[in-house]
Amino acid sequence: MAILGPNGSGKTTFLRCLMGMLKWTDGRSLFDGRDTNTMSPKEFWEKVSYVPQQRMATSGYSAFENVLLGRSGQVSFFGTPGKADIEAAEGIMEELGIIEYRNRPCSSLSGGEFQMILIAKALVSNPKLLILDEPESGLDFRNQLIVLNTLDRLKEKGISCIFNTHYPKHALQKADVSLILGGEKPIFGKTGEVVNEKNIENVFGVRAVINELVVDGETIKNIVPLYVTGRKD
Amino acid sequence: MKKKTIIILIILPVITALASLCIGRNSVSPADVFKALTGSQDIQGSVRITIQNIRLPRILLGLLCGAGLSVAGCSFQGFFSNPLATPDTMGVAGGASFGAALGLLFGFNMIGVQVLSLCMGLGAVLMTRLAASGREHGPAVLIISGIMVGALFSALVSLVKFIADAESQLPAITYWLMGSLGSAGYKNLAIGAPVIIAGIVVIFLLRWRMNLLSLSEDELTASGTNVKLLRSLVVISATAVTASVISMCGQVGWVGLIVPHMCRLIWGQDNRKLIPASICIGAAFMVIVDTVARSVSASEIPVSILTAIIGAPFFIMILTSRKKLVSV
Repeated sequence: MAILGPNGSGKTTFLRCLMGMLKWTDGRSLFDGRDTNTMSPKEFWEKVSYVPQQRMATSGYSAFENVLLGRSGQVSFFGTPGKADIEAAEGIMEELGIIEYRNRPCSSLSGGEFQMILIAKALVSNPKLLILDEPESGLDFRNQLIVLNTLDRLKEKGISCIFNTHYPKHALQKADVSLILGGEKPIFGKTGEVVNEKNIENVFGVRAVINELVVDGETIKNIVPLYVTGRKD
Repeated sequence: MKKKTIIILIILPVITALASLCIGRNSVSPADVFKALTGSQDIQGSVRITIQNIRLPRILLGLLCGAGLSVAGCSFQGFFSNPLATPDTMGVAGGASFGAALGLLFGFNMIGVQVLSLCMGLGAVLMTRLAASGREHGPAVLIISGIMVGALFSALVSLVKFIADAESQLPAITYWLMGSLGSAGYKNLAIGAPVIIAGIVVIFLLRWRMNLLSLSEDELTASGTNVKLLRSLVVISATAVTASVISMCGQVGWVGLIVPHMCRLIWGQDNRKLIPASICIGAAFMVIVDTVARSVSASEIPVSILTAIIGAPFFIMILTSRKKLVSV
């Protein structure tokens, strides 16, 4: 699922409410039909993982130590990670193709490399739901693709993803359903239906066309922005 | 850490302590030290008393203080995510010093001074905590409150010094404030040591979980850890250790800053390695400094002078040799 909207439309606030870091003024969060307020933090965070909006890596920990921190829900309060935790961390880094960063300090990694470490850290606890806040923003052409393709792979593995983005194209290409914030009313529905030229113009104030490319027999949707129309705010 | 490193780290303070037992104004041979420790009647009574009742408690105190201050330094640096945090960032040193100065002013015995100092140290941190509780108590607010509380208590210490009798009390207070392990005896060890050991054990057990403290607030919440409990345990343990150390041997500065950073340079940021390494290196470092303090000259040099003389240049060296300040 994608949450699409321009800067300042409340995407991050929405996610934080969803996870109980902020209180809903109206409504509640349900997980598998259960009100998340009735779940203990430990129980909730065993099923859900969160990758916050990227910030520069400041910690001097190595990439591996950082990924290992994701196992904190599995390690007892006064304990240290055991063999199973270390294997899980190595496994996920192997799977995401970032095992070669293992011993590098996080502060020496590039934005794209560090984002993958953060995703690995979120996945190492085997969550059912992964929530990412603008996972691809600030990354270059290639790294955006690496991160977005990782989301596809998670879908195949049966892990649901909710991600924020301000790129309509990424919602269109990666999400089954989308929530569009920033218009008069939030719009929710199947991505193919709600992410259309009219809604993009209403929410972003950009005239864009959606076209389809056929590559190797596969249909790929693409969005080409044309010009800025009257901005709604 | 490799097994070899762990063994070296454990043996290091033991060897330092044994060597320190032999060294002093009167050096004693290792064989005689062994005899004195086992209570053999084979050696001179005065030598046995020196080893058993003077050097041994003092070295035990040195081991505990060194380990305690280093661990407390590590914890506060982790807690504040700030490499320059020290054990007294939250005003504990100011409070403990005031307690001790007050005790000396009232002419309490050493045990009384120690207990009053311990209570005041803990009281100062409580004040800091309360002062910061009006708002979202982020670490930055705690640091500012700590500075304020520290300033308040250092003014109170000056006031006590001002009131104190210049002939007898003032020198005692001044000497105490400079820090010394000279007061070591089994009686004050019995009061201070359990607190220090308990604090070190708690922090040692939390060593891996403390790594989480470097994360952002949202990430911390998302880790599912009971953040409040973790922060409280770290601060309470580190504070109790620091207050207890200061109450026994005065203001011994720098150890809580130098030792953790020295260990960081060698073993990196991971608290799983950093905490045990700081415990062992800190204990050994303190015993070495104290051995120098009590043996190089006819009268004893206050340890905090030596830790600063060794510590300040060392620290400047670290700062200039590294392009970036060691982040936590």
